[in-house]
Amino acid sequence: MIMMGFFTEYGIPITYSGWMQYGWPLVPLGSALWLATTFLNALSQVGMDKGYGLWVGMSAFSGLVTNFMSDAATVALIGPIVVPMGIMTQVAGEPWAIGMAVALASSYVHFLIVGSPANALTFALGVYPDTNKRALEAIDFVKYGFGFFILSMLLLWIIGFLVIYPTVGFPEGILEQATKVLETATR
Amino acid sequence: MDTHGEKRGLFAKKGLWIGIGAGIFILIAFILPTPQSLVEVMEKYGYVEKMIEWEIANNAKEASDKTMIVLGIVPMAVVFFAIEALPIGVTGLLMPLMAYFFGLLPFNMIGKTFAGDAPLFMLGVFALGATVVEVGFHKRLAVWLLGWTKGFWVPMIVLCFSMSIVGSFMSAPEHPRPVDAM
Repeated sequence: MIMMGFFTEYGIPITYSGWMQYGWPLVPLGSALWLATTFLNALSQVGMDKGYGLWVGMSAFSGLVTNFMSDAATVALIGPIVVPMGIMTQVAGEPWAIGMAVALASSYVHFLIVGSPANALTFALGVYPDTNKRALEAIDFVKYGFGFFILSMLLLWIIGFLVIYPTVGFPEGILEQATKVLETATR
Repeated sequence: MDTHGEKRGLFAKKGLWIGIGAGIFILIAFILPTPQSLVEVMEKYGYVEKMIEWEIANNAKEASDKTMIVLGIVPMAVVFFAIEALPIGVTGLLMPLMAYFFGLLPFNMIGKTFAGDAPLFMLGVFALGATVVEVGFHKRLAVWLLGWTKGFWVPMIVLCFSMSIVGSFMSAPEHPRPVDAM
């Protein structure tokens, strides 16, 4: 009974730290990098290796991965891979465009309670105070959150990439400057 | 506290979901062959050397096998967390236990996250929440909110906007820094 009480009272901190522990080996053991490179290769094979296609593909990957591990770890993992790739495509606005695509999508932690402490806390506190019955289930995040995740991605792909990117634009010469930096770094 | 709720239908069949999660894990971790591209990535980016240095692998084959185990844990944990096939706390403990059992990380690294900011921050929030409920502040706060907002939509919109604005400036303090994750 004492152990069960411990698990129920402290389940969420254990879960979150446990998940971070679990999500964490994805990065140091190379699994996450392999997943990202495999995904990039798959994008290349279907012709989504530059411009809008690359932004859509990598933002989708970033959005999915960030539901399993923290947004900081997601961007730290994907950023160093996609930013040089964006520069090499020589599409105007790179590498800002691909960088922002990945960064914005990493905020869409909607459908797993372990993706973000905000979700975990909401889940943990989702209990009726008088009866202690649970008002919110983990599956509710999947049921409602996944639809909202899709909507968020569509908003980013349609409004973000097709309206805001061209309307606001990117600084002049950013691509040329980034290309020079990349060339200097690889020499 | 009832952490199981009242699930019905397919979601109520916990044994089935435990079997599905465990089956996926066994399939990926032990049955599927390790892709050559995985071994290449691990060798190219120095993961094999790092794992040998940590004394959790002796060669590229062992290192990539361990990485496959991590890849197998991912879908299993997602199923367990999403369906609550096991109590959430048990699933949370299962991950570091598996990391220890399969030697996925050095022992001192496995324990490090439990001594970090995340669990203590969450315990603090729960303590605050329990105190708020105990002294009845939650009811007074609700009455105050309902006093200056009417209906359903106004409080919802006010809360959504205020949380979004505050959240843009404040970071969840227990998020690991990118350098920690690398």
